[in-house]
Amino acid sequence: MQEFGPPPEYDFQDIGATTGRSLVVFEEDAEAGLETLRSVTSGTVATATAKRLEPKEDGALVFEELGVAVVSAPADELREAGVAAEGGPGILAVEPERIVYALETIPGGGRSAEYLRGYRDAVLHLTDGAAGPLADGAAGADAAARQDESQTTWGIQAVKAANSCRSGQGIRIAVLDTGFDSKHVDFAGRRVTSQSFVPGESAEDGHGHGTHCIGTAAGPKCPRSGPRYGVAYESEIFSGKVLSNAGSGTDGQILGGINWALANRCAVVSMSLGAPTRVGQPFSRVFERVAQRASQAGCLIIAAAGNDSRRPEIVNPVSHPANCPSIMAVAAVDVSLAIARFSNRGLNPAGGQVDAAGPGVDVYSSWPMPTGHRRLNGTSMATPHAAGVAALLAEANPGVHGAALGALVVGAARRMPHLPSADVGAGLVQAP
Amino acid sequence: MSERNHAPGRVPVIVSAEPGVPLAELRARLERAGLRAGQTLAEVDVITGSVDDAAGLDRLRSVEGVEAVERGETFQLPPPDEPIQ
Repeated sequence: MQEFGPPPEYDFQDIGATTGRSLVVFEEDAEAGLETLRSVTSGTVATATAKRLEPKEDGALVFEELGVAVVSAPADELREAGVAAEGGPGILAVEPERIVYALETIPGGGRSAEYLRGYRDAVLHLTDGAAGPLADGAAGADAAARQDESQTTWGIQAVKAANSCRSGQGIRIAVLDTGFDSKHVDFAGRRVTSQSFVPGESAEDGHGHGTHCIGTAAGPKCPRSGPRYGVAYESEIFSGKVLSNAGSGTDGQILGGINWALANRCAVVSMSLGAPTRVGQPFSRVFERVAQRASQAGCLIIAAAGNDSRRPEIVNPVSHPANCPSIMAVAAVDVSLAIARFSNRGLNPAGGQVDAAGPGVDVYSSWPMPTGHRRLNGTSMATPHAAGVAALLAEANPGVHGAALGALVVGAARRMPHLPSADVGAGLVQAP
Repeated sequence: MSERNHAPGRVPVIVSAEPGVPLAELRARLERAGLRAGQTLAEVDVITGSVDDAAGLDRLRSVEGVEAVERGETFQLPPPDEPIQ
């Protein structure tokens, strides 16, 4: 899930300059923080409205729903006046106000909603830094109950596939990846249709990534050994090799794989691949149009949100092509249902959002023989969980295809109120 | 399925067609405008290939029946032994 070379080293700090104003983040009870703010601000402390998004001179503007205020004074002045995380009651953080990307990317300047979203993302960035990764007591207890992987992996349990009456029977899933180990013992007797789009290479998996992803999406109910790790265990597997044994591929190969999946009437395409994007970068119009045509042909395309983040310091936007509006972008969470530290965030408007999350840390699945099985981390591992769930939903809802199937996946997701939607979209995918 | 469009120095390109445009004819027009064509993907109305240089992308954009022209991206997974995939 990375472009050639090291991941890009930019973060919020590098998106743009600061404005000379400051951003004050209140603790949960905003009233104490407001008192502190009033005591040091000579101007008015007003509440933001759709028409009013700038503080008056010497004043402050409070975004109540966000628990944040924009103050016209610079951050160092505020800190000297006693408004700081350490000294100011009710204040979680004080930071210089950054020039928010959304202001620069919205054509025509219509901006209230995007402006607020931009602030929300900036606030999330600050609170992540102040509080560390979110892993509260409730989530921890949940995790403890899920540690038993003797029968099924934690991921199969988390997406509720373990108790689902659906198997994916009659549903075709295409996994576009590094191919598949056709000699894997867990898939003996299973029908797998394979095709290579990599010049000079067979459809066999010389990397391992593809075999792992296929295992998660569609591995058997009862493997020869170890726990169940596959979601849609009776779905029909289509393995399109679009990435080489060295793990590389091109847009052309991937589009070739999508074309093949549509020609074979696959209901779901799972793509655990992506190229990093920058904040402000538009999505691919070609891939967007391809995804729309896929939807019209009855196919839902699901792709990995990408692994370019190193939280809390570095948070990067959703990768190409998952950043297309008509492609479902899947983030990764761990067994505690905390966001994975590498998982990208929805930082770009117009399609760049995360749509849902799947299990993507410490994921046990198939690996080419003789190894057999392996644990891996990545939004690459979360994506086939979502694809498998989509296949189960397709089986349970005959006649629902493409974008409508995607809406079912998102609608059925388990809400994750402890995590921002910019990170996990609608929440954790859930089997019917 | 092999593509002959990744010779060193060439620019990979993906082209989507406007709805209803016959792809064989579009492919011929694109080739006349400098595309070394690879796949014609009828299910998704896309033609892949390569051009000599970045300026070649603009020449393709002016071809009748073209919806969008983009430089093809490259993807790279980490080596198999990396823990994050």
